[in-house]
Amino acid sequence: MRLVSRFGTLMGLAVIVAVFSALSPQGFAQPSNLINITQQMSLLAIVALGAAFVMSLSEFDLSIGSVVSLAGILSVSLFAQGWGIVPTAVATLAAGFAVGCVSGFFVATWRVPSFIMTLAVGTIIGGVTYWISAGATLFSGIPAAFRDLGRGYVAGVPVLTLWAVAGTLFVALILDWIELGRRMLAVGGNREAARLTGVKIVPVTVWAFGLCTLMAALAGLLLTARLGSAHPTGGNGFLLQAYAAVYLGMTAFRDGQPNAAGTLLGAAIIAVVANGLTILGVPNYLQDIFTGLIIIASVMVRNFGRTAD
Amino acid sequence: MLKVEGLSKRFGGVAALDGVELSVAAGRVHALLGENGAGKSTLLKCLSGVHRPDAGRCTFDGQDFAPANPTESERAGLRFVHQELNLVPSFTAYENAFVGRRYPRRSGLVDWRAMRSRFAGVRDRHGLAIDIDVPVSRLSVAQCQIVEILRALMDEARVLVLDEPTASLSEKEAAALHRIIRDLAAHGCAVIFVSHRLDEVFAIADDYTVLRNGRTAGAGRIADIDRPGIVALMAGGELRQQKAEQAVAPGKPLLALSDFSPSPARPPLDLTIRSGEIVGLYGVVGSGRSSLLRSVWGANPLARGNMSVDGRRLPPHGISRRIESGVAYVPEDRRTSGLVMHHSILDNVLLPRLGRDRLAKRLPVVSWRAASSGARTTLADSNVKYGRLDDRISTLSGGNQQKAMIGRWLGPDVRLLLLDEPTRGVDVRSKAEIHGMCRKLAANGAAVLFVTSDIEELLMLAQRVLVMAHGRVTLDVANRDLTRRGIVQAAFETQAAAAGETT
Repeated sequence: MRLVSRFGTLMGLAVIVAVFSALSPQGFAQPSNLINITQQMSLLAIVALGAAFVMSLSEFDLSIGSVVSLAGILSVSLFAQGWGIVPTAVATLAAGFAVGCVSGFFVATWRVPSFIMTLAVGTIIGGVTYWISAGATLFSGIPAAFRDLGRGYVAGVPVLTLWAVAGTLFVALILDWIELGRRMLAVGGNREAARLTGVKIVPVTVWAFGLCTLMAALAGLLLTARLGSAHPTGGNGFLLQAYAAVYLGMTAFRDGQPNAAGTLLGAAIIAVVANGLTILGVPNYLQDIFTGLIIIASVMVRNFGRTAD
Repeated sequence: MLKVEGLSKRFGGVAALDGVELSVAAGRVHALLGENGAGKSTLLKCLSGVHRPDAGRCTFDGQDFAPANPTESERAGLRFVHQELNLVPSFTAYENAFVGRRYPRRSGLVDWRAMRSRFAGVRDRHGLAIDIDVPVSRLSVAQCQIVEILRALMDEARVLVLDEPTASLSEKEAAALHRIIRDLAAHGCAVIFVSHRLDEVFAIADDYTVLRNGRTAGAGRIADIDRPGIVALMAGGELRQQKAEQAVAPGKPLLALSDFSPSPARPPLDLTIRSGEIVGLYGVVGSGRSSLLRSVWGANPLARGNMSVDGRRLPPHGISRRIESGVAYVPEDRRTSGLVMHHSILDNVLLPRLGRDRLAKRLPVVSWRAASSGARTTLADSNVKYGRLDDRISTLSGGNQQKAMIGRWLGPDVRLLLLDEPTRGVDVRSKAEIHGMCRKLAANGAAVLFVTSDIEELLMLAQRVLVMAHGRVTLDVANRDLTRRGIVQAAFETQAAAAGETT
């Protein structure tokens, strides 16, 4: 049982890949398709990796979907104003970071439930995004060099896949090696115990929320680069899938705690299911039902692990 | 009316009750007294059906009475009002009264008018003036206490049990409550009440029962006993086994508090602790000892006053400055506020010392190699038995968790160790080891300030004893001049006497 709870996610992914490979050896199991999946999952993975920061605090940030959308619209608008690639990217990432810092500050200082606070912030961001874009899809003025950040291959590997790997390493570095990350996990594990050992709750919380939306803004930039356009609600779909990925990953590698590698794995499961079912010709609504069932199954596996202790 | 004979209850190897006798008569107010841990709560929980006794019997109106659960006890006519409030803050008094009860209904829907009038009837019958139409969060603590009592009296009550109903009340509020209690008794209800205020016991009780170590130490009519008599019963004979000795002569002042109060509602106090001292802080629950300790640690934003450690001034709150000055604190409840139970042993040991084991001095990157070896040393020094550093800390025994929780703070930099109930729920061997850790620290010139409810521990470990009551220090003596009776006397000091003594 301990094995199942420890490596449940990895085993789950292996089983799912095996099933799809058996059902569709010519379509799903082709190397080109598998490489394609790593590209399809990468943006979800980056948003989810950000969400792992707030999950490590045992909090939620429901604004991440809106921040992805905002980052897209903001960057294209700045390009349209004649901004260069680097200033645009920096400004967009800074805006994303700032959004989380505000949420985190309110959550830590006034103990506003993060659920409500970030729901409100997400709504505000959605409004701002609509305002900037006037509700339209923006696509003019995006430099070709910027678009290369989200498309093409380096040594046979999709660029987006490399971004996801880099994001995983970044989050792993912070959560596993940087003192800030260790403090986030301690606050999430037992806030009072962390406080009484001298952990300063406010800065830790602000950092976690800020890094979370920073990652969402990065995903928004890459999404825009990949599509060559930005839609005012283009990123909203990431929200629930991102938390599903983190949750799936919490059973992997570090039992019960959000972690980078597990989150990447969680995103992979969601992407593999979507890809496999599409190739098998299963309708969209069934894909949603499957994804939901997988999340429930992972929760149950996790709880088995808990009670076995 | 209610009789308890030879009641015993064991938890694991510990006898919480060991043949208790209690006899309560209708129409009389019965005070149930005893130190912390004497068995009062366990006895009440046996009566309310929460615990089932291992031996002995209870009779109620001459019939066998052995409630299997709280509902049975309630059906028999017993009502319990617990020390802590169990009200839904946003509900009105009468809404609260119906929580857990069957709601009156009218054509299937909740009949609000009937709810209100039934509760108002109970209120008026007892002649109490309480606003029952506002959320109880807008009522004072005393008024909430009255709501709790009224709730207990919604149906006919034969026996009303009040567990420290006045602990958080002002003198005036307590007096109002006393009137209600007397009134209930006059109507034929038996009232059992637990109190740590001896003055109120003498003011309103007719009979008393004193528990000590799970046994009935004495019982009778209040008219036949005086305060020293009660205190003697609670304290028992003088048990003077191995007393703490001063290992080294106290050195320079290490912790100095002046005009320091944990909150605006608490009286300010002055206190100096010298290096090499082990100071025990005793008092009944609610006397302010834990909040004093938390305030010294800087975890209480309401604290005011002057504090210095090693001559360095510290702000009245803020934990990180304390840590820099070599102060360490271990809270009372390791589950809720001490450890992160589902994290690894390593993570838990590391938490207070994050920042010490770095890859490079100025880089906040954890060197897991240094951290692991540091943690191993810490755990070995504190004699913690464990499997692997990656195991969850919840897999350790209580004693080992406690040793790890204390040991993780210890190092050459520690000047002052603050411990809240350092050995509660810990086996004898670990207890001795924890005491050893404290003595070693003190011998090396640090100081230890610990809170305990266990008089044995106080006498064994503390070289100097402080007793608190109602937020004041009512006794401050060296261990060798101390008697059990003196401690109990000071802990049960009345508010008035305490004020007179310190001013």
